[in-house]
Amino acid sequence: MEVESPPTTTSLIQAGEYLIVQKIDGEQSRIVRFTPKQKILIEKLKFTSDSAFGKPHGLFEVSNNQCFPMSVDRLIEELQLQEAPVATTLADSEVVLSEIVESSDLRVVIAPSALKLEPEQKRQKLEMDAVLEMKKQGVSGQEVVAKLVEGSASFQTRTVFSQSKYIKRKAKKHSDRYIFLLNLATQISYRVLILRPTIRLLAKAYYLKDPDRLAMLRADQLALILQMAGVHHGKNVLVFEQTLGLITSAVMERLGGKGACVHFHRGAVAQSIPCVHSMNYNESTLSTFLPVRIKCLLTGKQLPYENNRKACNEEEENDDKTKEGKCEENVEDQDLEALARRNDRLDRERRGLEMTFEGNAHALIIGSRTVDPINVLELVYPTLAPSASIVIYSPHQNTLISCYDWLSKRQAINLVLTDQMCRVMQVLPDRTHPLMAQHVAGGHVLSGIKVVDQ
Amino acid sequence: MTLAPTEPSFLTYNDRIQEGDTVIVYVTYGQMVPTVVKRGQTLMMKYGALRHEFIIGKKWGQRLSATAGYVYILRPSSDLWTRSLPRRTQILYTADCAQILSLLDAKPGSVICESGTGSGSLSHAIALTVAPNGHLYTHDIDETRTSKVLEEFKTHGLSSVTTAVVRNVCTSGFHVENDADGVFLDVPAPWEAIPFAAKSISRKRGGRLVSFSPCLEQVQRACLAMSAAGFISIETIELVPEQKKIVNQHRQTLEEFEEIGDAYPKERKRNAEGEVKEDSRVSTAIVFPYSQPTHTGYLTHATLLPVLE
Repeated sequence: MEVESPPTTTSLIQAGEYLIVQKIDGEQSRIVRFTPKQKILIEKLKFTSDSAFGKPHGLFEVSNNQCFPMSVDRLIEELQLQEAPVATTLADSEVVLSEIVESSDLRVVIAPSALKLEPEQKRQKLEMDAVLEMKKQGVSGQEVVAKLVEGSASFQTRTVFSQSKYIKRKAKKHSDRYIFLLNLATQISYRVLILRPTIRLLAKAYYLKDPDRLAMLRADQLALILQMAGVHHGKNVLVFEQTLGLITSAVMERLGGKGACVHFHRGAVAQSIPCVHSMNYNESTLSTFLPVRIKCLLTGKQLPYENNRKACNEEEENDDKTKEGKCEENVEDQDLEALARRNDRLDRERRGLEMTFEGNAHALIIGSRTVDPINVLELVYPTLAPSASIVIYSPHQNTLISCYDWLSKRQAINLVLTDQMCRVMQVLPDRTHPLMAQHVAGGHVLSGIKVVDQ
Repeated sequence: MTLAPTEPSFLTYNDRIQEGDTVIVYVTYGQMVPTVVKRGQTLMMKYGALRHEFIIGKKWGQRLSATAGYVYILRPSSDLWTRSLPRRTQILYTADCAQILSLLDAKPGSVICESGTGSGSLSHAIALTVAPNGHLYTHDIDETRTSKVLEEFKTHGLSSVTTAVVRNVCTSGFHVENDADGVFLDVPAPWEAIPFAAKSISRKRGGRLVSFSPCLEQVQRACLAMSAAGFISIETIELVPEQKKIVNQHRQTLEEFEEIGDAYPKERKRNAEGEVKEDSRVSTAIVFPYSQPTHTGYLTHATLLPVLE
């Protein structure tokens, strides 16, 4: 079994564990295997893996390249301070505005859009350093804004409305409140979550990072696939997927150590399934993983393994004889281990093939990216048990339409084609609305049930 | 925990149907009748009468003849149950149930609290997911609903993984404290239940909270309450599924259209010898039905981290 058995999940972070790392105020979600002496990097924040070992999963504060467990209460306080209603410095800005309106001569105003499109810095004579100097000297926000208005080349040519907007903007930016928020935001940017992976977190991380290799499989559609296939403890599920092992991993989790997840793969060994490795599954959960080589599926029976591994002693025979003794020992150990793994693999494969061809599977899930699902159906559908659920996911609708045609001629009922929209909302007081832009790519799901007419 | 082979259950998988099993009788698309198989009883539906005795001993997924047609007898599953269960309230459909399970990080062994129980659609989905060593505690303020769902759990062999109680979680909290891995709320005022939810979640393991609210005003108040109760990573999503239908469309040429208009004949054209002339029919998907649900509720989810010792 090529998937390494990781440390058993306790409530403390251990070396070798896969973990999800997120910044509290960040966008990304990274899946990282924490090995000793590793430097962890998340959106420009750095810390050592060693500082996390032995600590409970959860919230951390990063300083000096190390992470320290932090209480959630403190973070909640900080987040609430950020969201507290902003006392706008309207008073300040109104004073400045009225003074300026009084003193200025009523020139012909030109709309801002008529101004030459020069960057604002060029239009402002007062430089940033000078502003910072003023602040250090305790100059009030009001005075800073007045000076900025003075130094602005375009101010006089703006409409009154535009002038007032300009002043309000500057007042807000240079207020004490703003500086407080800036400091607060900086503080919060050092907060990091180190969490145990869950299917939900994995699905989101991969979808944002690599939707292509995931066949655009969104977390909500993955959830739907599991539900339509009826995956639960004790079920036997056949899975052919090209989604980085995400579907396989999700199925295994829902089986909870009993039943089977028959995973068809190319080559000699199950490959490209990072989502299975990243879950730190224990032996019990992994026991349901039955990898079956596509070669065997295509021929309808189990094939022996080709022995293309060059054994160490074969080379040594022609080389230095003094090394032979030592090498043999290592080789034997290696060979024994490799042999044990291979036997385990063959045993799982045998059981998987039995399940496939002897009508013991209760569900079939296909997550297609490049392979035509009909090819898979041709091999697997005839021996699928009656009343079994079939769920096919594809990023392309016409692929599923062909599958529908194929299945409807072969005693499948309750055939339903759906897709869905899932969008994230921004929920803030007086500012609640769906996000302005987000990842929307997704796929389509075809589901049905096999029956027999005998 | 092992289940006796003859115990009726949504979870055991025998080859053949036994008395006491719940069978989903598939009459036609959109019409399914959940039936608890019992000798001496008869099911009456669109295609006539079907004696239960006739179902016992048959293979799952088989076609059976009734007096006026035929039906299929299917294994019960979460989705089929949701689509065919006797409704007492507005229910959560499969897409929402699926998403809720995912947001709760539900899996075998999870301990989940739910309120309200309603008609038990989600309750069944949760029970099936957390079995055999997890547990569902479901709470409702209505006694009739609770006793109905208790009956159903018993009939379906899910009693050992469920506890259904009459309880107002907004005033009296949940049946368990400091033990849940996840809490689901479908109540009019979730902000009242949220502090109790925080209490029911295991301090050592932490847990997840999912709240379902049709209105944005409810969502806003719920988010504030979650933050105040110590939940982090609070996010609200909306999920809108869309169903399609596959039809065979004949693509007309301009000439055809000129000749016969767009009402193309239902019968296939035949040539002089009476052989069927192939017209170009293409399978395509259209959105159908024309009117579909565009909103059920917003799902707000959040995490309660384990408490630092």
